[in-house]
Amino acid sequence: MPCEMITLQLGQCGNQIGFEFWKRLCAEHGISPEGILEDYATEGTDRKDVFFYQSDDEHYIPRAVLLDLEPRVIHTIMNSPYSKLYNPENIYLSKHGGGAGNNWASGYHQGEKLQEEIFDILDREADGSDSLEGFVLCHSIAGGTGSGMGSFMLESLADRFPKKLIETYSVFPNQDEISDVVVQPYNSLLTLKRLTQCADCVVVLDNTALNRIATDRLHIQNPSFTQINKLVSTIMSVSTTTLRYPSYMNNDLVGLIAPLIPTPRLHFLMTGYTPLTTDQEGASVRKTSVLDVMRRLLQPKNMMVSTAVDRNAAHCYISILNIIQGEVDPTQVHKSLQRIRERKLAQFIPWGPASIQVALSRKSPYIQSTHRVSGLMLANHTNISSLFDRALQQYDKLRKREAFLEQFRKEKMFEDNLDELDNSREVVDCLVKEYQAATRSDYLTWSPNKTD
Amino acid sequence: MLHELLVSLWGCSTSVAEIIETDPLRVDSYLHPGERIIILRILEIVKECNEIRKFIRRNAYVDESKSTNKGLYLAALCDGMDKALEPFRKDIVDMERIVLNDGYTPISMILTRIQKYQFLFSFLKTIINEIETQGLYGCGILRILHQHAHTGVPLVKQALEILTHCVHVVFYKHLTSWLLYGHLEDTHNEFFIQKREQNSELIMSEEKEMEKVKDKDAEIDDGKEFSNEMWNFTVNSNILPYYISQTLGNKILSIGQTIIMFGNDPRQRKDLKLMTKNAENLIWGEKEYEYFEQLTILQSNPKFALIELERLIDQLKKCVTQHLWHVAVEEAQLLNRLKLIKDFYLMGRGDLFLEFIRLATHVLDKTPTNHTSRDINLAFQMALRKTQSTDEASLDSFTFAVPVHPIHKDENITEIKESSATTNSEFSEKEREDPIDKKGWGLVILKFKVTWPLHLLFNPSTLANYNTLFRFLLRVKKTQINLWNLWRDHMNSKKIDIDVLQLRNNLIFIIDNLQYYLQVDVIESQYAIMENSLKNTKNFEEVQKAHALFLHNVMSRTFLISERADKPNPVNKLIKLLLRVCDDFIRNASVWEIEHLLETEKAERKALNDVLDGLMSWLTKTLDRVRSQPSGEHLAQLLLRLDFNRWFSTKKL
Repeated sequence: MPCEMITLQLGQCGNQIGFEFWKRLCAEHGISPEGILEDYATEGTDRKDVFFYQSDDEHYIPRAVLLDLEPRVIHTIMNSPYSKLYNPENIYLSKHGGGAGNNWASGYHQGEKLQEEIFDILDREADGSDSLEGFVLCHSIAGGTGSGMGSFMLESLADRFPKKLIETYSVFPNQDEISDVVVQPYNSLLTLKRLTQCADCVVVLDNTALNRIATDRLHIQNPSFTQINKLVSTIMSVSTTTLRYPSYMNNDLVGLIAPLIPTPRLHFLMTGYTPLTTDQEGASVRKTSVLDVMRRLLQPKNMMVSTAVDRNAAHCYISILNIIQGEVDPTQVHKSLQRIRERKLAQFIPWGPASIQVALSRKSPYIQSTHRVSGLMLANHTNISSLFDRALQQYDKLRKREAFLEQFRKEKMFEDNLDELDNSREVVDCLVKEYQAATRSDYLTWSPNKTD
Repeated sequence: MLHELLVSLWGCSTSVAEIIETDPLRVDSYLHPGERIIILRILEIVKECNEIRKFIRRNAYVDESKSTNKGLYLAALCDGMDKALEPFRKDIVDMERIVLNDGYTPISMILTRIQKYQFLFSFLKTIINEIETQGLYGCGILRILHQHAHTGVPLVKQALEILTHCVHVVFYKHLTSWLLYGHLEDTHNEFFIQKREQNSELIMSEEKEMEKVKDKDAEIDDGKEFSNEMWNFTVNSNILPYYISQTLGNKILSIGQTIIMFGNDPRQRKDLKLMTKNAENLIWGEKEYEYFEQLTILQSNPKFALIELERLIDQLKKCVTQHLWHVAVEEAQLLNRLKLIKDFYLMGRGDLFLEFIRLATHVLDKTPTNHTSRDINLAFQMALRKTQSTDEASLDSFTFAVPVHPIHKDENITEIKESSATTNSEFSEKEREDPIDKKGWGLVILKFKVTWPLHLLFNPSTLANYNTLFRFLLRVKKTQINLWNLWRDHMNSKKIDIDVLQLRNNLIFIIDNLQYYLQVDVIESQYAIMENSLKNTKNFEEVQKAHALFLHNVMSRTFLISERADKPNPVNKLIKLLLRVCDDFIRNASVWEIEHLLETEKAERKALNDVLDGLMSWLTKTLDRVRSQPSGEHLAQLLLRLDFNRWFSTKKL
């Protein structure tokens, strides 16, 4: 089956959002928690095979590999009704179960040690697919396992499967609350370097914005992980919807992301979703036309990334893809585009052609929604650099004080020197500069070595 | 003597004339010279009357053995004439009675009583004359009668009514059998609907070719012939009576055609051959009797009631088209078939064609050979299987064919291109010719097995249009996939020449947006419009109209047909050139040293870039120029997509 994707879930956060993602996919495709197709779902033209494969006894099994260094989250999954969904051979828990202690370096080295076993699983999955399109990586960039081991996996995947795409769903830490992970800035920076260099596409899931959306827009006082992860799973499922419900375009990952990513390093995507509702309040149905949805998607308050205002640059969109689901009159798309251009609702780069692409997608018939139309925006926006800039500032603060470096020095990579940290800082700094350069019309002549 | 006269008036041969001519002396002794003149005048009338009688005798009976015989309408006319003479005969009988009662009846009584018939006789003779000199037959006779319909003489008027009615009885019988059963019992070719001898070769040859491909099952072949049969009928406007308009005639024609088509329903033929005879009952159902009654009433009406006939025909037409709608839309699942058409011809199943293109590229990249068709079909089946198309219908319905290099066709293309060379001289003829036209991509044909009765919608020329669309969309998609693959390669190395990236991005952007325009703004939008109008109708003609409109709009908005027949569509030309730039770029870029371009490679890139810039400025200008026209709405749509941030239109060359 063509265009298969293998999902890798790493660490506590990665496994949690992955779990929600698979729950959601099962519901959308009418697959029971045990992996059996529901009676009502036997007729359908959806492509279950992109993310699932069928075992000999007709069970649908996710092409998912679950990795963690500590057992807690995976145990929760294995005690849930979905425990029989996964292929048990694809669940890898480190023997000692001690975790990575929120240390990037520890996670990285443990990944290195475990690579043989992990790649046994990955190779088996890759061999089992007809024409593998790529990998999806779910992880957080702040912790130990997701960031450290994730970084190692990114490097090795890019090395071992150079022809395959790597897309990541990377969770960025919440800036509004004090983290219990003190070395978070180090972890983030080291992971960002790998995301910049090894991934083909990074969908940024910013916990700051997700929490704000949960409190401000969904009116949840203290949003739980589950509630936040619901939002994440929505984004993940909708962003893959054109792969799973094929229509005339965007039917493979490359077709989805190639138009969004013009130059290799500018591959960090923001997402926006509308309408935002919770399970409890479904009643507040607003008018949802294509134009309404597209207009709302351009509003910052619906963005899942919290970007700071940057006065140094006129930030703009590099590219936009809107995935619109529901009963859409295709003749409305053009009118909406026209209106958005007339009202100048979106600013685009001055150095190349850019526009809003609109993919009309089918919706799962098994999930009832009170909204006629819903939309997800995948956008490449230069202002995402403010997120990296923030990470740099926090890193600099910590680094200046030489704080908490001893746990890193314990690991092999940092035994002799801290070059890796400096190098990562340089890469991220360069990325921020490149994004800023992309706001200017002379971007094509910009080079990382030039000082400006 | 009086009796002699009466008998000769009756039509028997008597010796009255001889007596008067040969023996004037003896006559003079019996007759007054005045009486003699009266007798002569009576004999004149007798002569006229006899001519009419002769005509009647000659034509009243249809002799099956003689092919020269003039047929039912003429016979009916004679019958009518005979009836029209009835009052005349009554008068003779009456006169005989008078003569018997009164031996002294003057001869002038006879003359006065028969003189009034002279008008009738001369009228009948005119008709006979016209028929004989003009060689009229069949419905043409109705024309003649209609021409004489306005007369003030009551006797003539009466006679005319009788004549018209008599002929109309035959007409109605033809009409009834055609309208209700689709039978044309017309051995003498008299009805205004006639069977053509030769069918249009085009349809036949295509159909035959299809037949060859399919299994040689005799029954199916039979069915093919029969389904063609309905097109063999036409309205012969030469004998269409004046008072039946051409549109009414066509309506009548189409009702019968539909019924013939139903009569040949292949589904029934398979069950039981005899069933076909009853096919018409399926259409009319219980109404058959009702309509038959109505037609009989019209037939027995002495006056021809055109308004009522028109009303009835409209009713029948409505009934037939609704039934056809039912059969086509509900039983043959038209909407599903249209969906298939959209999914396959119009690339609705993107995932399938993604896989198909991947599997078939190496075949279609070459000039077709004898086994290309087979290879393509294999690739198609494999793609279908891989994308889990459990839908049996699509597997059975579609096959590919790639005609083996037709040399003459290429010459045609070149000719067309040459004729259009007036507008731009930048490209030489050699460059102008797209090499891909000769490869599999430009020649591949997707064949669709049309199920009965949808060949009414999907006739060969429609399918040819769909194939033009298909090849164009396939070409766009293939180019797009190749560009994406290039993107994928470029993602691996992080230090690529930015100008190559920028050129690649521009091309990806253009092709992507072109595809969005084609698929969303044109195909999806038009399809939604068609779907809506299909949902709101129960009339098959509306369905045909909606589909024809859909296809036309899609063809014109994808720039595949030109507004003006003599000139190729200018936008299409530019798009073709754009696609060629993409092809050239893909071919060159795959061998470039992309991290450090050589000088020659830089020159190549620059050249491509310049061509692209030129084309885009040309395209935006062309679109901009014509978009303000009322018919240019779709051009504005394409322009909006391509030039959303006004990159191409503000770019200075």
